[in-house]
Amino acid sequence: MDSKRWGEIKAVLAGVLETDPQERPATLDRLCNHDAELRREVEALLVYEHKADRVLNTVVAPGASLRAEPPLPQTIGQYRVLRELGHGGMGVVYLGERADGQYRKQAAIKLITSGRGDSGSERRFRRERQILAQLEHNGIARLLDGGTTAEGQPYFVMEYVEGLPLVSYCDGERLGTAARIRLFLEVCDAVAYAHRQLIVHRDLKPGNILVSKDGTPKLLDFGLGHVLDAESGEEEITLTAFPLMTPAYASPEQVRGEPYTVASDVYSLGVILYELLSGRRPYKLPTGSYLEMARAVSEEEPLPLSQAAAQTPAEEAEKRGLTPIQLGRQLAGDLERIAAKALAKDARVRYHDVGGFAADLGRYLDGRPVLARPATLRYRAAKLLRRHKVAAPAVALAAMLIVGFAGATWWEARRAERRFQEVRGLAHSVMFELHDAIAKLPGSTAARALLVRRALDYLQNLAREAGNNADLERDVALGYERVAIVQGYPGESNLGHVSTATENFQKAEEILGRLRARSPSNQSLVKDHQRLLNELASSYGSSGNFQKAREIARKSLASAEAIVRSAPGDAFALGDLSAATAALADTYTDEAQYEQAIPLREKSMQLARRVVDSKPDDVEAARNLALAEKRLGALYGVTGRLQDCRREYELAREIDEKRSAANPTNMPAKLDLSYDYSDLGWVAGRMGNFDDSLASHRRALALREEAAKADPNDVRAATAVASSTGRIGKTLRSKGDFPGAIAALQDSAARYEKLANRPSADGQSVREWAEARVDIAETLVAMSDRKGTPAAQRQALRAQAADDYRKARDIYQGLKDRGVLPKVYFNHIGDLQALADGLKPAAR
Amino acid sequence: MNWRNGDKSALDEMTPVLYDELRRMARRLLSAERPDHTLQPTALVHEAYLRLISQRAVDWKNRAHFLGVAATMMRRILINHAKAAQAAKREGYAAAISLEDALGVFTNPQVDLLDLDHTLDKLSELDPQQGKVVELRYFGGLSIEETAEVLGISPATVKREWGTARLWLLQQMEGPAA
Repeated sequence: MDSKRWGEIKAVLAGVLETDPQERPATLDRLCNHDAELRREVEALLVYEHKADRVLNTVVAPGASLRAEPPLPQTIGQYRVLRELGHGGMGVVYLGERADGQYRKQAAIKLITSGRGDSGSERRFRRERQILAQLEHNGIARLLDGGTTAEGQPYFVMEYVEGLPLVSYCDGERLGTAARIRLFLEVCDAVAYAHRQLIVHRDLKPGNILVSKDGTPKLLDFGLGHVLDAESGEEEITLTAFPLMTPAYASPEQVRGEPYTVASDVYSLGVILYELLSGRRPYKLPTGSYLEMARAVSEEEPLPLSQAAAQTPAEEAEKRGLTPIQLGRQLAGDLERIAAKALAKDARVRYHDVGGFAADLGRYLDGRPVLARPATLRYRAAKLLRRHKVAAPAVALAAMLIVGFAGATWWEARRAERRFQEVRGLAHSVMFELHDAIAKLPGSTAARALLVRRALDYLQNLAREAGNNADLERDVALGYERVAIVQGYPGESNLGHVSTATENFQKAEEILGRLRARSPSNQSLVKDHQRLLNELASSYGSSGNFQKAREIARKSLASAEAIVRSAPGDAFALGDLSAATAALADTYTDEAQYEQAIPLREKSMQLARRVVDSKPDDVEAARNLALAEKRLGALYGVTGRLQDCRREYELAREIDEKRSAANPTNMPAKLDLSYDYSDLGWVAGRMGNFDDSLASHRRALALREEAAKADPNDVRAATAVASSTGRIGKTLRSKGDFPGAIAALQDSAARYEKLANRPSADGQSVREWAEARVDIAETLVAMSDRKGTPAAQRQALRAQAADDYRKARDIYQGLKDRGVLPKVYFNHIGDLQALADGLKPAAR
Repeated sequence: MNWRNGDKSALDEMTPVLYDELRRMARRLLSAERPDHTLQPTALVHEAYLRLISQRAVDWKNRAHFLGVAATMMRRILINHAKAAQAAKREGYAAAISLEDALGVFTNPQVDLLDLDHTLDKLSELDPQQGKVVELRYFGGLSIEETAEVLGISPATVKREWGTARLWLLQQMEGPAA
């Protein structure tokens, strides 16, 4: 079967599925039009209809993506819920009426279930309701009430509007262009009114505009954006909510995350008008990554309105009683220019306000000349101006420098030179020495970001003054790299600003790429550049743009390969190639595409081995090989190739044993070795060999204890000890040794508790402590469930387990009260409480 | 994911993100008495997964993109898991795996996942958009409306694509070879 044939079959099949069973034979006759073969194929597929309903259903109930579909709530706030009206991006909308019988008016209740909004939403709502209450306009559905349910979900009560979405209404009524514009002007009137009250909508789209039976458009959700997105505070750093917007109608500044203004609403209205008139959207949005979508919105110029109309399908034009050609002609000229002005990418070129937009449309309807001029010229002029604006200070600065230097005496020039070197030295020291010194301090991430950012500013200024100074440019590039790492490089403490981090990695990569092209034999430049490419790939990977990540990793790989070709056998080049191959593999691992990652990791490991073969005494090379074996082993492990997994880990273990034996005070080598044993313990457990597993975990524990003793302040070593102890406990549990398991797990929990109570403890170690208590509780429950446990003992064990669940809950609650528990863990509190309650003697 | 850091255990850093935390959450969701307890087991894993992925300090600015990526990842996770279990079984370790791996308990769809995955690939070759619809609906657990939002097509189109795709997939998986 080819795509074309399937398209034909699909069309008929879809048509038949939509008709009632008794009418199906007739529908089949009509749609197949005597094509017996087509009919046979469709009928063969229809056999599976009932089975498909049963077997191939969605795994999650409809409407439930972030949460399972909740049953219809009986009441929300003061309102009795009557039925569901619909659900969308943010949550569910119910029809309700006042439960206290104050008045019987029906209202729409929007329950926010998307994870958006929190307990703060209610506070913000209270604060904003004064403003929102002022929104009294016939074209705006009134916001009546709002609050938070017992489960903590914010809700809003709005005037209930019975009507059709804007576009469906216009199409249904077969409205012509002028009638559509008149209706649109009513929408503009409502938006302009809200703007006068200083409220912007932020999510204008046809679906948010309902036209009632009497033909009045009403805007929904006005002010919600205000309440939901207003200052999310510190949370923004770790947990970024989705801004309230619909990409197809969002303005360029909105997708770039810039402040939302009146002009952004003008833009969204522009998209709506475009769609309303032509039946098409101004541009097609790519469905791939956010970056691609944002790029399309910011850069892709809309097709001129008349052209869009001319290309519209005949059935679409028919909804206006026209042919596509006629519609195209109608929309050419003034309307096209008005739409283009509203849709200008540069907000300053757009209509300044909705009133201006509406006035021009009014002029069109009256047949008067409109103000919108061919937008491209204005746009270009504005672009020129903008370029000039940026250039102006730079030009002035350059002029000042030239004048300054020309007028300066030799002595002053020397002084300036010395000052230049001093500032550079200071910036360098701040960025590289001071930063590294405070990097280990807990909670210093924000301070580091500021420090690095400032130092980078200085370096940039100096680089600009100095012109072609390769050393300085390299410092600037490495500065960008530092900034990027603090902003959001996975694996380091960071602020979680992944997309700005990616931009800065990109800048660093560009500078280094340029420098490298200038002096290709400079080893350290080549190394820096290769590293940056790998970091950039990884950064794209963590923002979900795997395509781009792979593209960059391939680039890195290609240049590493070129170097190896030009210098075969060079150990440095082989090492770089091994790293580049690994980076490409990791882009697949990030996407859980292990089968693609494995051959690349195999290659990376073989290259690392060649490096060791050529430099048998190089400690660094040996460590890299051990790491490569382990990464490969882990991939084998998660793909179920347990024998291969164990073999790789054994090889890594041999290397690390040698490293450790060569220098008994080398604690990092000891820790590395402990990880080998720990993972070997995991594989043995997977293979069902619990005795081997236990022996490996015990060996890991001994090494970790040694490292922890050597440096009692080393938090990582202490954490590793706690983790190993916990693993021993769980392995003992698998062996059926419950008392031993509980003792080890309690030891582990006590260690985590100590770590959690450090003054500088982070949330992670506190959560580990809570999870250790959960492990104890689960083991106690398993013990109580064993056959032959006397009833009294069983009760005692369960009571003890309930206690541990409660302790875990209290720990999470404590974090929440301190405001440091990420939102995704909030449910743990209720879940753990329920687990504890379920163990009550009365419950059995 | 920070599992590339040289001094960490490779498995520690790779598996918890995808499996351990997932299992922990799913187990908790299942054992706790929740009011909305009518969930299918796989839905639990989905919920856990979505909670997990949204916690990563990644600035997912756009919900549609997020849901799209999550669906693809969910498909891979389920498929990887099924394949790993199969591979381990070939090596003779099936018992240990299925005993230990609670994920296996929670994902018990009525179709052979690997077979479905393979057939879905064939559908995607024939009709890429339709393949994506199935991935989002089946593996991502998205509603018709959400799927429409992610793909930028109308809900009516999603409904048609989904309805016809299911029949085709079943026919391919069960029917006599054409």
